[in-house]
Amino acid sequence: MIALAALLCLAPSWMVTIPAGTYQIGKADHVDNPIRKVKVAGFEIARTETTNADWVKFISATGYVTDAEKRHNAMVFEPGLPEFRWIQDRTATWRWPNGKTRGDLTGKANHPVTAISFYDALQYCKWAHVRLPTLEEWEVACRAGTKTDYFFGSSPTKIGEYANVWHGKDHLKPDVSDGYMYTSPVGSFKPNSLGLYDMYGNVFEFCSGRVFSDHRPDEVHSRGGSWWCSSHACCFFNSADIGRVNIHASFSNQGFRVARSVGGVKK
Amino acid sequence: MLSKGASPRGGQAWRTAKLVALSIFALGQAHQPAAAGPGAGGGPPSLAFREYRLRETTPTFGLNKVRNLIAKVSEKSTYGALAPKEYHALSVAEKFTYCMIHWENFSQNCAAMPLVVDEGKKLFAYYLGPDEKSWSKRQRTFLQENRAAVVQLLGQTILAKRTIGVNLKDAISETRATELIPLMESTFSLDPRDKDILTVLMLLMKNAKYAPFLHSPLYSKLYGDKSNYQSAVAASKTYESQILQQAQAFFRSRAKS
Repeated sequence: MIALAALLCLAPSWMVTIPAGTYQIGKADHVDNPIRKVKVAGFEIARTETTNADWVKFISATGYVTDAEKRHNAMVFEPGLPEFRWIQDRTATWRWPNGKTRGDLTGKANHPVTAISFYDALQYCKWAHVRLPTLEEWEVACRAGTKTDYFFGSSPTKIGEYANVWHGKDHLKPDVSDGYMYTSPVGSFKPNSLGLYDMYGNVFEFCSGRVFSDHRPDEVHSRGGSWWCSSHACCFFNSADIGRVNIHASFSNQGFRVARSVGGVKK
Repeated sequence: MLSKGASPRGGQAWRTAKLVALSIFALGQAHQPAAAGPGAGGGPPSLAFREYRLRETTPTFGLNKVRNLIAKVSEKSTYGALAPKEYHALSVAEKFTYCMIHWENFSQNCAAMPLVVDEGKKLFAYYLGPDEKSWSKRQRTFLQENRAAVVQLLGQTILAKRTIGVNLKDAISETRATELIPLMESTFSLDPRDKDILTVLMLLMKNAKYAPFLHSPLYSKLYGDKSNYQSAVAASKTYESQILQQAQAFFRSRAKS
């Protein structure tokens, strides 16, 4: 039903319209995201994550300098690190998402932009006259009417069809079993029934909003998991979990997709 | 299981270590426990219990000096790091304090474990780490290269504060400080709400590939093929006793070797 409504709406081709309505979101026993019904105004959400090509346009137009470029504190990953261990690389920025020794953006214009902070994403949104989706909007769009942990069912066994995630048992050795160790070009995997790509995996997507367990003003949230996430580690590639990170932190598995309210940017 | 045939040398090491820990605790029994926190932590979602689990324990070695230096780090909101000159001028004890109260790196989006229902009634595969922050490479290098001194400073801090905050738990794991097992068990006996101490004991055994623990059903449930970092079991006296006894045997086996 949502899919039909979305098809009938007049969003630009790179966006999907989610009609206003009351939607069920959340998961049983999930403290930060309990099962509940939420009223959502109509909004449009990008089919794909914001790409390096999109980001270059922003930088070219504004000369914006990112948090990682100013603070030299981006966090990167390389195989061999223990679980959840990342390393700081002073050379890592959106131009060299995993540091200068691990490659630049050559051939990656269509990959999601990474090594940017939530704060940086907000600046992009201001420039592009869009906004980040709220935590609730992201989930409504991701679920596409489903109530299971995944928009394709209750079990993660099919995750490899829909998402660029880590398939190794740990992160001690590289995992390129799905063709990609780090990011993949946006839209490389199957979309959900609304035509939204990479809702799981590829990069964590920043969302606006707060959750029950928040206790610091500088913490922000992201959803959907990333290329780093595996079944044995965080398993955040699902419709319910909500990540947490510092507003100025930059990671090479962190990006965003944009949204906008039907009729203009939601204030 | 504790073996009746445990070596006299190992058994003596355990008894001595535990006696020392308990004696020092007894001296301070007139005081209130430092880790005042909520009760069982069960029932509805408990932010108070989560905050109790996330508490940090502050060492006192050069504390004022270290705090003043941190305050001067320009970007207070983003953890920042002491300049190399200031950092290297710190003594080992001061660097220890610096590491225990200041993390120079961010942590990953999914490293923060989601708040769960009945958190106080569960035994987790992994303890909570410091929120949204992690040690930098130079901080980890310091902890590992000065392991003996760090373990001693950890022991002194635990004895003085009679609690083991997330920062100390992380340092125990980082340095694989098996020497502190008796002290950890004594601390747990003072505050059995802190089941994350049991988790640290399990992780020490797991990381050392201690066979009796690796072959236990509890290991399979928490760290087996179907596990992930959110894995947990319902806490019970049976599990508690099993972990404590295995950790004691593990400690004795380390003392023998």
